[in-house]
Amino acid sequence: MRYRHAYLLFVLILLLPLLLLSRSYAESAPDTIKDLRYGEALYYFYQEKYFSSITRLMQAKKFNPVTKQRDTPELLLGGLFINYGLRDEANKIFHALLEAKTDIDPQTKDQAWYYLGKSWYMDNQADKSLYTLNQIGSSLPPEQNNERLHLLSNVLMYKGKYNDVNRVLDDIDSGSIWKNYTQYNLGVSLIKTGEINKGLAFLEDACDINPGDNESAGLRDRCYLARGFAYIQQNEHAEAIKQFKKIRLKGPISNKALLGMGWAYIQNNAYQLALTPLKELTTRNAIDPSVQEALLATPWVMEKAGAIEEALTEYEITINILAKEKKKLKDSIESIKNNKISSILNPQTQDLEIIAPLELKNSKSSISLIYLNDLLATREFQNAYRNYRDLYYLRSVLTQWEQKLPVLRTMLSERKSAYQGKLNRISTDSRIHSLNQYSLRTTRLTNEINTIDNNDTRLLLANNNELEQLALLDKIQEKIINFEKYQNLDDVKYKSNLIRGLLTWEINTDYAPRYWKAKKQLQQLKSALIKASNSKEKLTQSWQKAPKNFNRYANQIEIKQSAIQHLKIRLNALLNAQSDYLHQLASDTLQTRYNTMNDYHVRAQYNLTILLDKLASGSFSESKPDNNSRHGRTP
Amino acid sequence: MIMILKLKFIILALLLAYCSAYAADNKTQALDTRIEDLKKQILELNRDLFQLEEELLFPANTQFSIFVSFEAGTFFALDSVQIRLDNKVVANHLYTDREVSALKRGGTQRIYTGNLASGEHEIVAYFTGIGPKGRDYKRGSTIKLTKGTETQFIELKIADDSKQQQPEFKIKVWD
Repeated sequence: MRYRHAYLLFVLILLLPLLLLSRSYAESAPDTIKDLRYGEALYYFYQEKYFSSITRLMQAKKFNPVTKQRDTPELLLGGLFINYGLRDEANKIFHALLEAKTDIDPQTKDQAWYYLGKSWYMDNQADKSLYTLNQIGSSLPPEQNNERLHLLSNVLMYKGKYNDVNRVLDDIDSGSIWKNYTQYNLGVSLIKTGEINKGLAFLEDACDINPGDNESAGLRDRCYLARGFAYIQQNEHAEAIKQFKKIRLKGPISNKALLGMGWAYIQNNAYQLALTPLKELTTRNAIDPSVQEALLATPWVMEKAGAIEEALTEYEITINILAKEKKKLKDSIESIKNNKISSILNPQTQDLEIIAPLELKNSKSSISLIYLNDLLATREFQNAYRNYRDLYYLRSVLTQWEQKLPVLRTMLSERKSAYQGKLNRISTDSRIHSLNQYSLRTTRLTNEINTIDNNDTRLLLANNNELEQLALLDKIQEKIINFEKYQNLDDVKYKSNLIRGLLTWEINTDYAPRYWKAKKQLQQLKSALIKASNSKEKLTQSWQKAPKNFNRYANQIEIKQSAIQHLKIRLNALLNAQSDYLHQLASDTLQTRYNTMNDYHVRAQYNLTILLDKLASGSFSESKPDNNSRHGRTP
Repeated sequence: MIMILKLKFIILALLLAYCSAYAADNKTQALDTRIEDLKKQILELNRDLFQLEEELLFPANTQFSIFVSFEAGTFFALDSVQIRLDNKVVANHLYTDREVSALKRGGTQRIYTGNLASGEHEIVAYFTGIGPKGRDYKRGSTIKLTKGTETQFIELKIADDSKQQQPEFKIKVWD
């Protein structure tokens, strides 16, 4: 079981850089931004400011959800949680997406399954990961699907289902680097389980890659290296050498390849030939364990090749180099003890949220801490460092809020006094209290219009001039009635009726537009009244709610201040613990390196002593150079 | 013989060292769990404080934000943006490569958030950078808008005018 666990970790370690670089959420993100807040979260995400991005999405989710982007903000949030090391939170989101929603589109569903599967995978949950990765339909983009199949094959390898891996491998697109990675992993796994020939065949397929970029070239080197060592295991030294020769001489694993080649020659008793790669190695930086191994092996091989004097000289050189390296290591250990590692752990950049890969070359401590380079590349250290940097950044976040809280308090106090001022103004503003009267008047007007509509009393729509004229005509009519008995007023009566008729005709003709205009104006009046009423309602609600809100804000500020204090204490403790842990990792690594180096040093001294003893006792006077050493004494 | 045995051991060790790693011990896991828990709590606190700050400093009825985005931007390498609101400089931003890259990939930057009273306002945005043929380029875009009683978002979009082979600066008022 322990082996299995370690094996999955091995697979993860092989993949880790790829996972980080993988075709993540970003590549399936939609181009169209339908909600600027979502675009803002993406802006931080693309800068690898996961904390800021998560905060924006969480804020939107809790207080005012982004609805126009469908489920993509949730997918992004889940992906961000994975990147930020909060896999439980990520899993909750993906589960919620898959379980709670019935109208989820297949693309989103597949993405949710994919990220959930990946999350389980990173959490070493093989069964869950296998189940989840198998739920994915056909909507993933091709390269993402290739990556899914690659993850699936790794889980199957972990479970020992190599035949199934073969089937999955067939489904990965040819030409995709995921195919080569899968072939490589499968090849190495089979070799480890003893099926060397099968493993070699898969590794050969994996080597078939165009080394156009660093990643491909690196993978090809690794394939040849694994093949080389597998051939050594099988005592096929000539084949092993062929493989090692295909590896780039200046690549990241060239030292291992040179050492492998040296050992392959040694196993083949070709000591003279072994010296070529070994001597090349000894010219390289002695910090590399392969170089140290070569430093020890070179004089031994010279001795085997019969070049005794050269072996003596080489042992002395080796002893000197190893002594110097031991001294450097001692200095490094001292530096760690003196807390110099903090100078490389603590951020050099202004933007604390951006966590750049940790490198020694630009650091002032590069001389004293040079032996940490290997450690820095390990997954364990990188994870621990990332956590340390996250905590370091979070400390600055808490400090910023701590400084902002007094500002918020002042703002609250300002708003309270502004509220009091407005409240006084509002309570004395007669316009607000006249709204009811306006409302009554509007009702009256509405009734009047309705009356016109119902009874056809069109004169109500006459304008002032017309009304005056009508009133005048009424007076004339009255006078006609009074004076009619005294004199004949038929002519005046006729004219009066004619004018009234004309006036009525005019009013009647213009009735329709007048009626329409009156109704429109009434409608506008009603709308304005509704707006005014709504504003009044809002205002009333605001001034009623305001004191409650002020209390809520004040409480929030106090609660948050206390939370900040509490979290700061925990954070500082964890930051110290994480720093101690990193120190311990560094210290242990350096101590192990020192012990190994010391062992090499002692062995070199011992070998030299033995050689000198042999020389003193004349053991070499009768001995001849090794028969297999076809090139005689080494130069 | 010893050397050959040692050689086999080394090969095995190299293979193992190359292909495996040791599992983190319980203590490390406990520390990781505690850190995860703390991260989660600080995220929640940060979210709530952001909201509180927004509600207190930028109430919904006066809140006004300006965003910057790229639609294509092949004719323009952005250096900086300056925003003038009613003839007063309210924001200045000098872009890093990382920020420009995030914008080009589809991110949207909130360059300014403030309070704006209801009524007519004028916004002028100045974009500075490198234009077509590697020449220094500075352009301004103006918009007049009427702010209501709701939160208002404005987007400044850097696009391409393919016909003119020139950058184009659009302003969009979001409802």
